[in-house]
Amino acid sequence: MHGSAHAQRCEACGEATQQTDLIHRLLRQRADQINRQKFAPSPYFMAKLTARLRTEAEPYLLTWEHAVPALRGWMLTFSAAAALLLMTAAFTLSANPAQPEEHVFTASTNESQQHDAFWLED
Amino acid sequence: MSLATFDEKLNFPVLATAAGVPPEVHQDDVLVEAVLKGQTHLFETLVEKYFPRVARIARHFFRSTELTEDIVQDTFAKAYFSLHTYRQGASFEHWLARIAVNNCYDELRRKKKRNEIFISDVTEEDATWLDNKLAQTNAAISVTPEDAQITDAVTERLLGGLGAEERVIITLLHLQDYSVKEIAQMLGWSEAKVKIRAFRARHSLRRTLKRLTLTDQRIAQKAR
Repeated sequence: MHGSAHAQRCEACGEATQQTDLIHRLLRQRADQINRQKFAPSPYFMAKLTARLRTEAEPYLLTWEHAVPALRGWMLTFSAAAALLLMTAAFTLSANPAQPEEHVFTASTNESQQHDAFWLED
Repeated sequence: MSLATFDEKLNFPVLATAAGVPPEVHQDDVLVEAVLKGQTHLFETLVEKYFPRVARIARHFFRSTELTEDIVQDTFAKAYFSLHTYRQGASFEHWLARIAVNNCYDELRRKKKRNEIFISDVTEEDATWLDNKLAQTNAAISVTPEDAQITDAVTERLLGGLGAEERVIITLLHLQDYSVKEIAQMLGWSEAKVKIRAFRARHSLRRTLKRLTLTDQRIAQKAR
């Protein structure tokens, strides 16, 4: 191999190859050591995790991300109800246009005339 | 946990396995669906099943048992709250591993920011061991399990000299044997970025090793 032949001749490359080889062996040994280990949750792990999930789930439901879609539903309902009311009102008004109220002053006018007359008589 | 207990816990008929989906993946998908439908207690089954896998990933990054357990807990909590983003039919194990790796990466970055990772001076014993190893001819370099304590300390110092990005790459490539493509997918990086970071990381490791052996020479000089 050209590479290894060069590394044997070149001091710098030889040193670098040796260092790389040692690093690889060190990493391999560490990996093997970890891969041999057995991992199992501690007795309290599940309890701690469950408690954490429960605690975090509460504020999670109150965040904007969750609150906005919920609010959006209510807003849609209110908007629909408001629109329906407006439409009903508009329809009712167009069908029966409001008549100006006629005020009858006759009685009251007569009454005031009689009142004036009474005082004038005196 | 046996599959029979699995089905008993589910309380609803197990769906027929979709074509091309391995049974293992299918079982996980059924569990995920059940959790999403409100049978949250079934998440415990997924935790029990994948605890060793997630713990091993965290352990490759951190030596501390407490920190490892914190990372594992954090990983499962994140998985639980983002369970709706899991794509049915994909591997739940890979999805979870991705969360775990990103968690470890975040922790490495936090530690770097707080300057918690530093290279302490090597002990005389470690330095002598290193020097002896490097003095051997290339073919003869061997790291025996008997050297475990020293090799562990030296490896930790070597990895401690890396930046968060470099460390995550070296750990995934050389300790966990992931491919460049898999790492790119996990971290959301391009394959080119992974290769460049790996190259820099190896260079950085060699530089640190050299520094450690130079420290050895300094110790020897002091002794004289």
